[in-house]
Amino acid sequence: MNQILIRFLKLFIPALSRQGIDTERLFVIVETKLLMDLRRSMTHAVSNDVTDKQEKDASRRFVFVLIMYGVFSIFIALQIALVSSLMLSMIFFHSYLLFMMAMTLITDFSAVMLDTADNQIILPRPVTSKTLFAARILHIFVYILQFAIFMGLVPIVTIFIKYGLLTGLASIITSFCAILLAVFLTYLLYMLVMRFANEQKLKDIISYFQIFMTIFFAIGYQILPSLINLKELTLHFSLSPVSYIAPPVWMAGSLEAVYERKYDALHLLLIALTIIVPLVLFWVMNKYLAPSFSKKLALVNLDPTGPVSPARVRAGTRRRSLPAILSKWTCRSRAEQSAFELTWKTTGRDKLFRLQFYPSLAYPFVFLFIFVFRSSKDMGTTWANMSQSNNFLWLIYILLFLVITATSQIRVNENYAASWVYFSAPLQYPGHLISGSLKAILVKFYLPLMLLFLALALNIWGIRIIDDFVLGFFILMNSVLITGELTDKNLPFSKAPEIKLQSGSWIRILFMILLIGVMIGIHYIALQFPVIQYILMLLFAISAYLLLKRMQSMPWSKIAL
Amino acid sequence: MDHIITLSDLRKKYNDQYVLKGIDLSFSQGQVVGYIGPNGAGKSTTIKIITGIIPDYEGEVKVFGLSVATHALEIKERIGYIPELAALYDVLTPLEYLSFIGRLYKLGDDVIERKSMDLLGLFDLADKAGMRMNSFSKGMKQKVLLISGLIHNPEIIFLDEPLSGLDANAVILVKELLAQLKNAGKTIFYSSHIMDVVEKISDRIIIINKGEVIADGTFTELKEKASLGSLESVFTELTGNNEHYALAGTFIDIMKN
Repeated sequence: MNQILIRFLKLFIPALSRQGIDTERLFVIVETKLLMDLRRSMTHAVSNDVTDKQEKDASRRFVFVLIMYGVFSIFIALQIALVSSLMLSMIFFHSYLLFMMAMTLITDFSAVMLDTADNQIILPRPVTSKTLFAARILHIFVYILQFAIFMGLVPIVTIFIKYGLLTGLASIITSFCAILLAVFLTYLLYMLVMRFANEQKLKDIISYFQIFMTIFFAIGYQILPSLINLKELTLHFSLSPVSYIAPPVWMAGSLEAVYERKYDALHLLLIALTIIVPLVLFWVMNKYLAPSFSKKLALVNLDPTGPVSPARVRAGTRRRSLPAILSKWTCRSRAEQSAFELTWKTTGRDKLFRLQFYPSLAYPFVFLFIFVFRSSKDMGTTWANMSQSNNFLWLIYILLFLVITATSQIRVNENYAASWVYFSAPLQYPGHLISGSLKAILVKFYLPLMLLFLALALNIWGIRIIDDFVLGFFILMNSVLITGELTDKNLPFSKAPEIKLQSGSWIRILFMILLIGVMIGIHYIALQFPVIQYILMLLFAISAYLLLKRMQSMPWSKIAL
Repeated sequence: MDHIITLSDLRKKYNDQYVLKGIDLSFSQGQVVGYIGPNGAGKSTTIKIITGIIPDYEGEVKVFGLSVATHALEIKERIGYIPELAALYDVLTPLEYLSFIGRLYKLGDDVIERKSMDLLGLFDLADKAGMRMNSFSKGMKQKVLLISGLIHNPEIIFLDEPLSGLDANAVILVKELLAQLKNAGKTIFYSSHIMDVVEKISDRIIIINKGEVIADGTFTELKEKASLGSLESVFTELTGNNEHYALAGTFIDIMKN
């Protein structure tokens, strides 16, 4: 497919060389980059230093994303088929294209946009920064075109069937313009961010976008199907003048012009905007923004150390950091405190951990939305009846998933080899390291969310559910500690990041799930009998304490290597 | 006008701090220049400015009598640059990578392939020419990098810490290579903090510290100046790091307490 796309793009050679771009070198770079994408086995080029195992993981993710896009595009196609107004359905379609493309670019293709290896490899060669920039844009464009074909195929076929050949062909052009626009808007965003922040900030922002995407997909699946019942909406559908600012409206308007043969001033203007704006943007970027952007990018890795920052750490005068204070409160032994602080800091800084774990921070909210608030058809009545239900159990236990995910990901780190320090250190009970990092996860990720949900629950159910939260807390502790007991006992950050099934893990995991289910079941039954709740609270508190002691006194012989 | 490179009052600022504080140097054709300094002295920055990688600087830089600011492309076609980190696209095979680089210099496909295979053979990499480089060691990548910087027969060769990560045999080969390149009339500009390499093949040694040239001359000249044995001690004396002995003593004291 790449070959066809490349041949298609070579049609633009005259236009490109008129811009002062060396097209021969341009295509050498683009072809090589596409070859490399293929080599990365369609990994979305997440990072430059991924291991093979990660590549496989990433390619699985790629397939997952493709399937999600496919499902979405079927929704969009249905919407085109069902909504009677061409204008409305086309606004939807192009907004969808524009939005999805921009999001895909931001979340998955950032590595290519920010590939500083280019500076080292290509800039010393006789290639102008203008040509390199054009090559980057073209590369991204070809890559994204493959996505676009996947996303747009079903909707466009639907347009062909419903609105005929001419409109269908026109919709291909307008989709094309939407994609171009998405590429430019994304680049513009990057340039803006790079202007005011450093590369690290940019990466942080990208990971927030990734979290946002996760939430968007999950909630989108709940909402989109109901949006298809738009027929009644169509009747009183009219565009306010302000909406003509939005690019999808231009594109939809252009298609309306083609379909209804309305070539009045307004429609001609919309057609002109559709085609000219992306071209003008390209010209502006190439002429004015690209040089400064490449310069900025060049700085990113040219100066790794940078001028020495004046903020020196001096012994004694340094203020105690938050994790240092918290570790004093929660851990008794020095080893445990140390593991607590290490875990706290690493979970905030490690790229891999953040990429894998932070999106799952969104899941509790998504699941809550699905389970609690979508149980009946009308959201209003659900809300009104909420205080009569036992749904607060969801609020209590939904975080269990999060904690268990974190404890399993905390074992893994790219610098796993650095864990030799644990073994060379004079530690009698390595269990302290595991309990310390577990405590860090609980304090850092579980506690704030739990308090948030508690506040929410207090609002809905009142003070009476507070003892349920206390019982829930102890049951959750039991569950987490039992999970720790039944899975491999890795020291924090000591495992290589590869997907390896634990030996005989299925039975253990099944047992674990069963046990957790039973405990939550006991809680559910105990809702009827307040007295039993207090007895259970005491029992689970004691068992959690004993399990913790057991974890802390874990000997070296049990540690998994 | 027989100077092949001239730098006049070259300055470069990062985050409002000058990392190059006015460098004036000129080099004639065929010279082997060792450019030495501790980490952060400004060696790489200087090389990146001369090779046209960093476009914004203050002062004037001319290569082949052409200004880098206006004629970067023409200059880049005639020079070779070999960076310190093994920065290359390692999902490609050496052959594919060299063909990529070669085409950027607009060399013909057959020329590229012949040269690549021959040069890879010299570096004992012929049997790995079709393997992807992500399994390569740092030294193997550095060899490919060396070839990629020389494949277009450049007139000036810039090397930024070219020996880092190479195995002992490759180090000897590279040293010999540099000597032969010198015999072939190439100008070599070479940055390093490793002393023993520079002292044997350099016609001229420039020592730079904190963005300023602090010594310039042949090895013997520098040696006379310092009246000390090896270049390493010249270097330490010139860069003011001869309080190592005291430092080590303090270290021990702190460790004990």
